[in-house]
This record gives sequence, structure tokens and C-alpha cells, in this order.
Amino acid sequence: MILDVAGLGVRLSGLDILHGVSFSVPPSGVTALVGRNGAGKTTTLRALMGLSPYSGSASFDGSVLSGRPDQRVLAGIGYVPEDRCVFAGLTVLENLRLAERGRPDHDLVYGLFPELRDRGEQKAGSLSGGQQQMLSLARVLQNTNRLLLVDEPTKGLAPRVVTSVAAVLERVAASVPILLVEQNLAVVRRLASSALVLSGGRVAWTGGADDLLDDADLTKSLLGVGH
Amino acid sequence: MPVLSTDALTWRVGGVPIVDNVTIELREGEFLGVIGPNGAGKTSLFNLLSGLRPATSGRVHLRGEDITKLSPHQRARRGLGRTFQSSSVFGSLSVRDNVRLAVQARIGGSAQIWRRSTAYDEVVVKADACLATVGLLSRADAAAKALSHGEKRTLEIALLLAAEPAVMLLDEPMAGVASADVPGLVEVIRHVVAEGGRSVLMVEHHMDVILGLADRLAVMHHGALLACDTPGAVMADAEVQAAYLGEPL
Repeated sequence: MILDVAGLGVRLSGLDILHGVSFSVPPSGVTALVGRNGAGKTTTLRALMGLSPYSGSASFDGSVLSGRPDQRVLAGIGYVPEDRCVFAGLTVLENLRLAERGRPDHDLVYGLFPELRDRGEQKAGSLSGGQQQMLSLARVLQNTNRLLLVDEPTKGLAPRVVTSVAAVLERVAASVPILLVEQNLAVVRRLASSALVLSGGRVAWTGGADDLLDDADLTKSLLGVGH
Repeated sequence: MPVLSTDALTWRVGGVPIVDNVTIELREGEFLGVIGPNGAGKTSLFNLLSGLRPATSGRVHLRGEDITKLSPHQRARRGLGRTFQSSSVFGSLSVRDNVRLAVQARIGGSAQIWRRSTAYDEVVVKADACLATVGLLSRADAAAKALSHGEKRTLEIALLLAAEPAVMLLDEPMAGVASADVPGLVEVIRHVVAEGGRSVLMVEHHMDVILGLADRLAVMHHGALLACDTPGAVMADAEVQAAYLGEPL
């Protein structure tokens, strides 16, 4: 396993958000992290990145995961946050350069997102939502990663762009394992081999993604969809 | 007469047309969906309609009145309300107080020292009525920040109702809402629209939702109106498929 999480707990503003969450991420493919709004999916990713204080532990490729967020990035964990979070006042190139570490692979990201090469001098804030999402992904994918944490990459995107982003993630997943938070179950079905369902800050189910999505009773009871 | 209409509405930034010569009509009681690729100008169109951005040229009419030069609050007073793409509630206030503020903004007089003591009760009653309409009354005392994302989007509908709009502009109300919570929010919108006989313009990428609600669909591309027709006709349009829908997953 590339990531083993044991008893992850997060308490924010006096509220328990995660209650002893334990799960593992295999060293290849996409693991979908799904659940209703407020289940704790984003909080889980933020805790793993060291962006939220937490109890419990996690090991990354056999080593205890600890330290500041930047240290976790340097260890090889790429994080694509929810809502893109690009620097709106900086150009596309400046956004990419700020996120570079080691020897970035610009050819890779321009191959995945040709539009970004043409828009290098454009302010990120003036990009469309789909282009901002591409930039958010490109900032991370230009570096060498051993694990990717990706939070709702298709949120607010037009259907055609959703398909494009899913295709990019599919290509990336061939070489880097991904822990993917995603509400669009069609995207989960296309990309994920395994799935983890959170409910009320607890792990409600783990198993194969198809086992979850093919079971109408299960998706109804865990995700409230189907039937 | 259409309840809301634009005539060659245009907004240019640095010479680049963001909204390009858009002429569109929203009929009384109609639900008009607005779709289009990211960056097509949908939210910018809403900004021009609600007065957040000044149009470079063209006109906006509400019930026949030219409102092109009116401020956002003047348009709101005339019955034009909107929600935003990103969730925008006061997290540290209770759900009820969020709506109460919106009711006070509508009826005015919050700074009057010598008000009748019952005036406050009236505001709370109105706020609770809005919350009941959207099904959030049981959460009235919770801090807004404690709501789930889907509940926050529902609260935004209640805030909109507090302004008693005849025309509602809804900007991607389903964005980020969990699949399980989408049907509930759709029902809230359906109920709110039917109850008030309201006219609605709604931007949404969730195709199942927009096809289930809209009487007609307007498609924007590169700032211009690519098509405006029944959902069936729009979905069958080859240009719309190429520009927006693309290949299925």
C-alpha cells in the first residue's frame, strides 16, 4: 500500500469532523473517496496534507507521514484542492513556476493541456472554470509525484470539459496512484478501481468501485442515489 | 410582454467581447435554462442582468421598464433576485439570522430606534416562512457554517425568497452538491418557482437537472447566444453537442 491511514480524527471549532478513519490506498490506480456533503472527504485530504490538525497516524510508502504541508509535497504527495485555488492575479506561467519543484516536466503538462501553452501570459483569474481546473492540475502534474490527492476536479465544469479532465486523470493514473474525491459517479465509474465511502466522519464502506456502483441498494443506502 | 429581456446586450473587456450582442427573452412564469462551456459568458450575462457589471452597449428591460442603468439594489427592489456560483452565507450567524438580515434588507428600517417592538417579530416570522418554504426551518438555530454544502445552497434560495423576487437568476445552484442532495434541492427550486409563479433563468451544468426543470434552453458560446429553443431541439443540435456536450464519459 502506498498510503495507510489509521484512526484519523479531526476536530474543528469544537466539532468532531472525522472519527477514527482508517483505510489504505493501493500503489496503483484510482481510489475514489465518496460520500454525501459534510461526510469529511475534503477534511480527510486536508489532514493528510497537514493542512488540518489531526489525531491518529498515516504512513506514506512505509514511512510515517508528518511535518508541514510543504514537506509532504516534497515527499512526493501532489495535492489538487477543491475549487482550483489558482492565483488569480498571476499569469498561467507564474502559477506553474510557483509550484515547480525539482525538474518539472513542462512537456508533459503542455501535452495534457495544450491550451495552457497558448495562454502562458494570461492572468489565471481571467481563465474559464475549465481552464483554471487544468492549471490547478498542471501545477501538480508538472512535478514527479508518488501519490496524488485530488479534490472534486470536475466540480462546476461543462460536460465536455468533465470528459477531458477524466481522460487526463485516466492517463495520469497509469503511472501514479490517485486518491480522488468526486461527486460525479460517472467519473468514479470510469476511473476508480477501488472506493471508500465516508458517512458522518466515519468509514461506512470500502471495496471495489464497481461493487459499490453496481449494487443499487448499496448506493442508495450509502450515497442516497439510485432506484 | 416578456418579464425580462435583453436587446443586443454586450460587455467588452479590453475590447474582447465577454457577452456579445445577446438578445433574449424570459417569458412570464417561464423556466429558462442557460448552458454553455466554461467561459462562455453565462455568469457575465447574469452580472449584466443584475447590474453588478455595466453593459458596454445594449439594453435590459424588466416588465417593459429599461433598467440598464439601474444599480443592483434598484433592480432587486423591482423584483429581480439572484444567487451566486459560490456559496455566500454568513457562516458565524445562525441560519435564521442570515435570512432575517435579508428580510430586513427588503423591508428596511433596521436603523430605526423607535420601531414597534413587534416589528422584530414580524421579521422573524417572515424569515421562518422563507425557511419553511425551502425545508430548512428545523435548522434555523444552527450556525450557517455547520450546514452541509447542499444545505447552504438551500439557504441561499431562502435568502433569495426573502427579497420576494418575481424573477430569479440562479447561478449553478447544484455546483458541488452531493448526488444524494441534488433531488431535494431540485424539489425546493421547483416548489419555490411554482408557489410564487416566478420566472427563472438558471445556469447549470448538471444536465439531468436542467432538462428536468427548463421549459426552454439558451446556449451560450464565446459570449454569444448559440441557440435558444426547447430542450429537445437544443440537445439534438450538432453545434451544441460539439461545443458543450462532447463525448459521453
